[in-house]
Amino acid sequence: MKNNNNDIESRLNNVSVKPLSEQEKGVLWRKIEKGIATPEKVYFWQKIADSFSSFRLQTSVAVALMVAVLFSGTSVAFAYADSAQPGDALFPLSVLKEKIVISLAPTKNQGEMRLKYAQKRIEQGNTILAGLSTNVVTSTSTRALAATIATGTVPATPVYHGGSTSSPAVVGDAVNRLSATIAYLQAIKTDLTNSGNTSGAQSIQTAIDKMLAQVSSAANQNPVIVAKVQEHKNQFNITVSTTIASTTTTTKLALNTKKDTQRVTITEKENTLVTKQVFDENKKNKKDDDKKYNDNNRKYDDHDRDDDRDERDNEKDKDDDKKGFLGWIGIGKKINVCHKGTTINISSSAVNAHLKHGDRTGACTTTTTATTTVDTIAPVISGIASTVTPTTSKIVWNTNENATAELLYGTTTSFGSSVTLSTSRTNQEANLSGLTADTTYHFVIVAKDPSGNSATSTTNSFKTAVVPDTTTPTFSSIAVAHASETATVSWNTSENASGKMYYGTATPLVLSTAPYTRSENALSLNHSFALTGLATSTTYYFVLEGKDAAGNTGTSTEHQFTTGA
Amino acid sequence: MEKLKILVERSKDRDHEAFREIFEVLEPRVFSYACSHVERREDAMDITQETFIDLWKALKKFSYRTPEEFYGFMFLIAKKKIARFYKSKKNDVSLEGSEIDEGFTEEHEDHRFLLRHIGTLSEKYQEILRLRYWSGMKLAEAAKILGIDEGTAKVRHHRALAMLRTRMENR
Repeated sequence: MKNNNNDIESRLNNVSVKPLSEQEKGVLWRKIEKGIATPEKVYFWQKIADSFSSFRLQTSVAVALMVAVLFSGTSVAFAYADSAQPGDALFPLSVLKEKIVISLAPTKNQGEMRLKYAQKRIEQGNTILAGLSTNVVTSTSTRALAATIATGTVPATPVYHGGSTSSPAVVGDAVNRLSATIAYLQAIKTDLTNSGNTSGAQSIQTAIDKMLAQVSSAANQNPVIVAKVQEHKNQFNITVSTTIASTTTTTKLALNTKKDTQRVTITEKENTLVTKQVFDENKKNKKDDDKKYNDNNRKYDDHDRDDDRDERDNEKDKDDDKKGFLGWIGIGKKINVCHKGTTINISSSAVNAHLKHGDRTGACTTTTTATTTVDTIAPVISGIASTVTPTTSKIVWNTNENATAELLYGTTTSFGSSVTLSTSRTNQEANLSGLTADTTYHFVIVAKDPSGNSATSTTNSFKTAVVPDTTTPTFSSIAVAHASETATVSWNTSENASGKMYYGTATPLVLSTAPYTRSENALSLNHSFALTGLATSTTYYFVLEGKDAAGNTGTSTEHQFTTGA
Repeated sequence: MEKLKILVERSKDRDHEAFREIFEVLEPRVFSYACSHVERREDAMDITQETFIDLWKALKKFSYRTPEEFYGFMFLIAKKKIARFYKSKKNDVSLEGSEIDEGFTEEHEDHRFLLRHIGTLSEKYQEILRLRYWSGMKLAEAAKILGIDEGTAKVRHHRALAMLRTRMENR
């Protein structure tokens, strides 16, 4: 198996695509240039409109999303949008922002995120009631608050209350809405500046300046400040109005997002800054405003229900993973409310009324938590260790849960061979055989738990052991050239070895007590020693010894020679 | 790869010069990838042309995060173009759909021979082999583009080779 994979690999490695020549490239580029050279004027809201054509949402909701995305990355604005409560003018934006965040998240996280936002919505419901009793702003501090707003700073603790115009708490609320509005506009301005649209940024700054000036000039006169960010069909209106006595001054910024669907080009529409004097602020007008506001909310709910239907349809086509209990508990659907000790299930548009009566959102007894028993977590591989011999290797490892495994190994990092361990357990052992000695092998472990989640370890390696040398050197071609007082003894060894010689005149020669020895530590195949000062006409007995690099020592039999006269 | 980010941003602002630079750098990858799908060089050039034109248009909706994501985005467009190419060639004899010719000589046509068998593998295995051997990427690079981790890419590559071998032996 190993060899054949490498075979294919080398054929694949030989595949080479002849690249385009410079001339061919030039021709290609000219064709591309023709294809892209359509004239278009792109203005910032057109860019945003385009960026949402890939999401399957209703048009008017998409419009609102366009502006919401401008705020991405600016945490101040989002903090306020997050705190917007059901019933606030800024609430629709808060939900829409969630929708963007969710749809931009990778699919596998979406279920979790929906649950997180749903829980948050329920917690926010509980906060409303707390806000009512503790955070009331008195009218004497209005001036201070208005002055704070005029300098562009944002109050630290938001106050929320869906009360009436006469209650001081509303002023505090409006102040917070105003600061949120200014923050939104500042975020839009930052985005425009970053994308190089300085004239757009300038227009926004003008709007901000006018709004702040309007508020600060009214600061000492106990104004009623209303700040709103509202979406209509193709337009997004940001309004700040201050009412002193019965005179209302309004600054309105309208962002027109209408796209001419018949042409790719779009004409730029000037930002409209309208400073109007005076409506008569009487109760009828206020009722109309509220009614308009509720109509918008209802329209929004409708869109949201359609969205949910679309989303449900989309879910059916997707992978099975995240369906089931992590459903979308959100706007347009029914939610639980604890009403006088009983948990009831009502539509979201009725929630506000209940909250005003002292109910709170969520079931009466328990907090909502979601638990899962579905194992989606892959096993964790640890404690990888290997022991080797020249031709085998044993590899062991642990997993934090029962898992089967496949171990891929080979002499290259493309592996080539594998073993399967089909018993699901937490400690595994793989025995590899038929390996080449003194060679580095690379391996990787793929562990799979019973639920099918698998994990792959990093690439590890081991080196097989060297085959030990256990053969002792042997001796051959032993020769002695002798004269009367000298002799040269020479011999060969079967492998590189050191040379040692014991000699004496007595036989048998006992090595440990041999009278004379000669030795040479360097390893070689040919050895010789020249002996001097020998006695004439005497028989000398000698034994040879040699030690190889592995430490094996060979000893020869006893030999002899006789010197001359 | 800050340079790529800047080029993409400028291209989004409709800067032709910046887009040309992107083309110069990335054309080889797209072209070789197209070559791993089609037999004829001219067809691969057409696909490359269409891919870059579409890329220009799609940049409006694209927000740049990492180079790998951008390459992945580009390959996605290339894949769509290749799919459309096959649809329009339905009546012709196409590479993927034809019978494996038993008497096919390997010598000078190994590229095409390999491609025929690769075309019978699953999508995942095809992709990793095309990116590795035609687009010339290291497994680590291909992993990032496919959105998987390196270990998984190596395993998938190993299995793809094994499967390819099996297919070629059992032809």
